[in-house]
This record gives sequence, structure tokens and C-alpha cells, in this order.
Amino acid sequence: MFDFLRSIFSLGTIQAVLAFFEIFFVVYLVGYSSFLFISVVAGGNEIFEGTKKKRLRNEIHRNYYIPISVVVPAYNEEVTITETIRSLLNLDYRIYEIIVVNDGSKDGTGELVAKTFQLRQVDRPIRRRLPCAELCSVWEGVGADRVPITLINKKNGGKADSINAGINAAKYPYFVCMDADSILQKDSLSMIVVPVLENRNVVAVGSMIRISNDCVFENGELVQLRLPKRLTPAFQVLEYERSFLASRILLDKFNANLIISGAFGLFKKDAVINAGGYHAGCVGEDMELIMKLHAYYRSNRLPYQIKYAYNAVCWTQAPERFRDLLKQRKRWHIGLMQSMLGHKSMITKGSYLYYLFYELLSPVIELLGLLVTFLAYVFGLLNLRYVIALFLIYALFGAMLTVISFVTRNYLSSIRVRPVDILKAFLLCIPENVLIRFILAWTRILAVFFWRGKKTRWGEIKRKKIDYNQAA
Amino acid sequence: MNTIIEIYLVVCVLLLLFDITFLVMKNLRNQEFYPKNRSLEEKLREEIQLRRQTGAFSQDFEEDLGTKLGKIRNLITLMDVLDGNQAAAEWFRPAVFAQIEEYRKKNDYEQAYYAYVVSRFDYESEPVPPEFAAKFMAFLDSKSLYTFANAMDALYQFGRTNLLLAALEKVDECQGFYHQKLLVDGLLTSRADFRELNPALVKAFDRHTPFLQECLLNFFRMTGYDVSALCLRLIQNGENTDQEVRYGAMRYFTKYPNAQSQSLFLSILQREEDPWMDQMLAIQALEHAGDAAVKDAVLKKVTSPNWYVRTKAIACLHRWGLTKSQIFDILYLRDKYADNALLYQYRNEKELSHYIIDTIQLLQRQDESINDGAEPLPV
Repeated sequence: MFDFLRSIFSLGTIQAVLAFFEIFFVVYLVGYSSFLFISVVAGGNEIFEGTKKKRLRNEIHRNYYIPISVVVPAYNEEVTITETIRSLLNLDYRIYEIIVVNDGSKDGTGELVAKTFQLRQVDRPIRRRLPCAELCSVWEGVGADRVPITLINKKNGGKADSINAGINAAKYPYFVCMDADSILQKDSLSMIVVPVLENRNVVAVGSMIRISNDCVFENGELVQLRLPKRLTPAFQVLEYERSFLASRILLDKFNANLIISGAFGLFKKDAVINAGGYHAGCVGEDMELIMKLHAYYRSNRLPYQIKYAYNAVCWTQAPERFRDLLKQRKRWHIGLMQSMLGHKSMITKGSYLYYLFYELLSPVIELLGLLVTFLAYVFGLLNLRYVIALFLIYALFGAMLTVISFVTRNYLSSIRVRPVDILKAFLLCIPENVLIRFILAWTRILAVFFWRGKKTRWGEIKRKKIDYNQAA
Repeated sequence: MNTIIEIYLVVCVLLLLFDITFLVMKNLRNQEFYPKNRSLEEKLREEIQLRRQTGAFSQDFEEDLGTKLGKIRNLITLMDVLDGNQAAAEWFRPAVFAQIEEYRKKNDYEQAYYAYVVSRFDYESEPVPPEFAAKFMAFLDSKSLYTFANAMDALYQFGRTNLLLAALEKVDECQGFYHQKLLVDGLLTSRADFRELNPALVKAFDRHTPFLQECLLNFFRMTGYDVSALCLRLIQNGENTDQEVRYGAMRYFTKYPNAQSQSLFLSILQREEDPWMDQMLAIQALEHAGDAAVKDAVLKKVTSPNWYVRTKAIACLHRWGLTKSQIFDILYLRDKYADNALLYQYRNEKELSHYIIDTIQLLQRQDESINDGAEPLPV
């Protein structure tokens, strides 16, 4: 076969083409490695500086607060919804309300919430400042510590549509949007408002999403941190730590974050309404909203900041099965593509280019790089020793940075990472970098090729009930 | 090409080494943040003792004090030493005030802490110097709520009407960023002369945004200052008044009703087309009246399609006291929601709650028998 290839192309042409691609690929890798490196340095630095700030903040002895509406969109979530609401009632915050939006669930989500929290139906009028599907009924009640709970039953319209309905019903000027299967750490609201209190131009704040699989909780608080036993969630823990404790902190320095995870984010209600709210026809509604906010404030030349609060923690369940993970990543990649294509005017923004090359196009570039390296070796352009060295150093470098991010967890809470988990992380992050990464890249490429138009359904990933509120 | 890869390898190794070294060094350097300045703490205690005995600090200490208080960790140490010792705190006030320019240049948290320290002095015995107050107003330009709120706290303590009015303009510019509760609580606990402040606030009322107007109406409602003329104007001039401000004005009369407001609220209740919020507040404001015309108007609201209006009307009637016959009249309307609301109000009154339950059941049986074609049961 190689002789056949050699007979078609002259060696000189092939060498020139491969050399060009190889240089591009190496430059790309150097760029990515440098970005990772700077991210980890910036992330570590920020965490140390944040500890200093926290000390000074504590000296001020005052309870500053902004009232928050917590919007929980739910679709067929009867397994997890009551645990989620119970954990929300335990939050350490002064003024907030909980709004559960039941998006036409086929199971008993709505009935379960109304019955468990003794809500009653009211004729409350809701001003439709954002478009959303027809509302069927509104239920209200009061939870522990007089926290108001509102349940909105509406016709099915997707997650974005449900959040829009929740925003319409929100009484307070800021809202938090979260997933119904996630859990907020007790101090998460007090932490996520800090960037808003520090600067009134902040319109949105992202949070740290951490994986709860195999961790132990008591009364909604983490008591034991464990790397999951199963490989699929364990790989994701490493990936999340690297992403949330490193790159997002660095991007935050330049007001360049284009993603606030849909699992937990704080938004200024008026800003979201002015930007047009969540786009119901988009798979990655969370990213699309952030792009929209950037575009709105930039085009109107208004001062704004989109911040990231690494110490506001939301615990979420990662898919336990590999095929669920692949499904999830396909969905995310399509969402990313939709958002980026929908906001091409942002191309002059540096962060857009970063997301374009290192997120959207990365699967193509990485797999192409692999292929070119292989061909370069076949055509005698690369020394085998160097090829192996390249991959080893790439894997070790990525692995080391991942472990550093993982260990940085120790500075975020009093719960320490177990030495056995550090060892496990070290062993896992090499296959995570050289194997899982490329499988996911391939899946993401397939997702783009086989994407057939709009898909606004909820992501259906098998969940299991986790007892976050077990008594101590 | 191999050279490029070699460069990449070297770069990666160097980056990694730097990364680990940087994080380890940073961690070691930050083992203790803002450590208390123990030597300063001891010195401060000694100097306070000296001042008590001789009436003055030592000359060296006095000369160094300004420079020392320019650093945040020394200011924290000073506040720890002065904790609960207001008399001694006053001795340090000029030195702290002298650092205002220094702290204006610092980061938000340090500015916020400085503003907090300024708010802790006693302005009852010694008013704030006007030059300092003028400079201090610049803290309200901060985008940080920590700084802004602490600066506002200090201004409440200064107690000067002109400064508070200027501060309110800044609050207005924040568009609700400084929370309503912080403002109202602050004004209520302010050291201002309310005889001077209240008329000044009323005079400037129309200049403010609806957010601030609502806050001020809440403040007047809590202090009991007579703004009934203003509130009547706001209610009657509904088209030009922000909805929330109008509701604020209506709430004022729920606490301080008068004859004019009563007839106004009665007319609101008699108009079916008025919004539910207006009707609910009208019922609340008429709770103090209770004459026949008012009772009659409120009674009609027990079957309102709005849940809030209905429950408020029944709560109001319950407060006035209902006879069995009046309760029966409500139950006879066969409004399930009104029945539940009535039962809720009388949940602690055994006899009447039994009467309500029995009557509801009786009426249900009667309805069922009518549906079956039988003669109505005697009532």
C-alpha cells in the first residue's frame, strides 16, 4: 500500500505537504501545552490570592447579599428532584426563592414536588418577558426557613424554554439556573455572588462543577472525597478538574469565558432579558446565552463582566456508562458548533478564536495530526524515536498538569484528597490524555457529520439516586 | 522537523518545572495570610496605656503611626486592639482619617475595610470634619458593593443631611445594586436629625428613580412621618407613577389610614376592572375601617378569581368577626376556595370550624341530591 502511495505522489511533494502539516500540528500542540501551562499557573495563583481576599472579606463582618431566584428546570426527574429541592432548602444564604419548572414531564415530577413540599395552586399572573411554552398551572408554598417554593407546570418545550419560564416567574433581580439532578454546596450561593458584590458590572458568574459519583455527603455537605471506582466517571473527574481549575480561571482574567455551565450559573435577570433570554432551538443553550451576552454588551458598548467563581461548587452526576458519556459529548459539541456559528460576529474576540481552534476544531486537528505523524513516519520524515518521545512527552506533560489541578482541590475545602486517589489520578491521566481524548475527538467529529438539524430534546442520560441529604 | 519536536520537548519540560516550582513557592509564601503584626499589637497596647496615664502618645510612635496605618494588616491589628474600647479609638481617629488618600488608591477589599473602620468611630461626641467627609464621598464611586455599603454605613453614622442626600443620588445611579433593605435599615439607624432629613427627602422625592422612591416610602412608613398628601398624589396620579411606587404609597395607608384614603380604597374595591394587587392592598388598608359599606365591598371579594384577593378578604372579615349567619352566606356561595380559606382562618376556633365543616358537607349533600332529581334538603 505504501509503495502504491509512493508511486502516485513524488516523494518531494509528499514531504513538503507533510512537513507543512507537521509544523502546523507541532505549533498547535505547543500552543495548547503553553495554554495549559499558563492556565495551571494562573489557576494556582488565583486560588492562593483568593484565600488572601477571603481573609480580608471575613474581617469586614457584614452580611452583604443580593436576593436570588433559583430556577430548576425539570423533565422526568422524579428520581432526583426532591433530594435536589431539599438540598436547596439547606443553603446558607439570606434571601432566595426556589422555582421548579416542570417541563411537561411524563413521570410524576410535578405531582411529587407539589405533594412533598405541600404546595397549593394559585392564580398568580406571570409576565411573559421571555418567550416560553404555555404555562398550565402555578403552585406555591413555603419550605424550611420560610424559603418560598414555586412550581410551574408547563407544556414541554425543552430546557431553554423552561428556564425562560422560570426567569419570567422570578421575583428577584438575579437568578441562578441549575440542573435538577445537581446539588449545590451549602455555601455555593454566598460564593457565587462574590464577583457581583465586587463589581456591579458583572452580569453573569460561572461556577465550579464537580463530580459527585462515589463521594459521601451528609446533610448536603461533602464529608468524603473519592475518585470514582468506575473508570468512565473517574476520567471525567480529571477532565473537569483540569478544565474548571485551570483554563476557566485564566480565561476569566480576560473576560473571555464563553461557557457558563448550565448546571450552575448566576445571571443578572435584566441582562438576560435584554439579550433575549435562552434560545429554545439550541442544544447548548448555556453557551449560546453567554455568547449572546458578550455580543449584546459589546455591540452596545456597555461595560460588563462575565466572571467565574471557582469556589462556588455544584455537585453533579457524571455518566457512569461510556456510551452515555459519548452521547453527552456529542450533544455538547453540537451545542458548541451551533453557538459559534450563530455568533460569527464575535470572531474578532480572542476567546472566540481559542474556542474555535482548541474546542470546535480540535477533534479534527488532533486526529489529522495523528495521521500526519504516522504518514511522516511511513515516508521516512520522522525518526521513530522522536515519534515515541513526542507522544510520551505530550502524555506526561498533560498528565502532570492534570495531577497538579487535581491536587489543587486541597486548597478549596477542608476535605483533603486521599493519597491513594492522587496515585490513581496519576495512573489514569495518562490513558485519559492519549486514549480517551482521541476517542472523544472521534465521537465529536461524528457528531458534526451526522447532525441532522435542530434537536431540542433534553439529554437522556441514565441517573441513579444519590443520597445527598443523609443524616450525619 | 526533528528539531521542531526537540524544541517542543524542551519547552514542555521547562514549562512543567516552572509550573511546579511556582506553585510550591507560592504555597510556602502564603502559609499565613495577613499575619497579625505582633510587635505593633504590643506597641499599641503600651501606647494606649501611656496615653491613659500621661494624656499623650510617645513622640516616635506618633510620628510613625501614619505610615504604619497605611498598611491594611496594621489597620486590622489596630481594630483588634481597639475592640470594645471606644474611648481609645477616638485617639486614633485623626491618624486613620489622614490615610484616606492612601486607601483610595488600594484594591476594593482594602478600601472596603478602611470604610468599615471609618464607620466605627463615635460621631456623636465629635462630628466628622467637612473636608474629610467631602473626600470620603469618593468611596461611593466604587463598583464594589463591599466598599459602597461600608461607605454608606459611615455616612449614616456621620448623620449629615446634605451628605445623605448626595449619597442617595449615588444609590439612585446604582439602579438597585445597593439593596433596598440595606438602604431602609441604614436610614432608620442613621444619626441624622430626622426633623431636617424627612422634609428634605420629601422635597427631593420626585427627582429620584422609582427604586429609590419605593425605598423612601418604606422608610416613611416605618418612621411614621406624615407623607399622606404625597401618597394620595401618587395613588391618584396612577398613570404617571411607577406601579411599585404606587403600591408603596398604598401600603403606607395600610399602616396610617385616613378618611381620604378610605374613600379612595373603597372606590378601588367597587371597580371590578382594577388589578388584583390594587384590590388586595385596598382590602388591607380598609381593615381599620370596618363600617357597613366597607364590609359589604370586602364581602363581595371572597369569590374573587384571584387567590390573594380572596384570602385577604376572608382574613379581613375574620378579623372583623363573622356571625354564623354571615359565615353561612359565604359558604352558600359554594366557592370551594373561599370555603377552604374560611376554614383556614377559623382553624383554631373549634366550634366555628366544626360549623363550617358541617355546613360544607350539608351543602354538598344538598347539591348531590338536586343533581339526582330529589327535593332540596331543608337548610
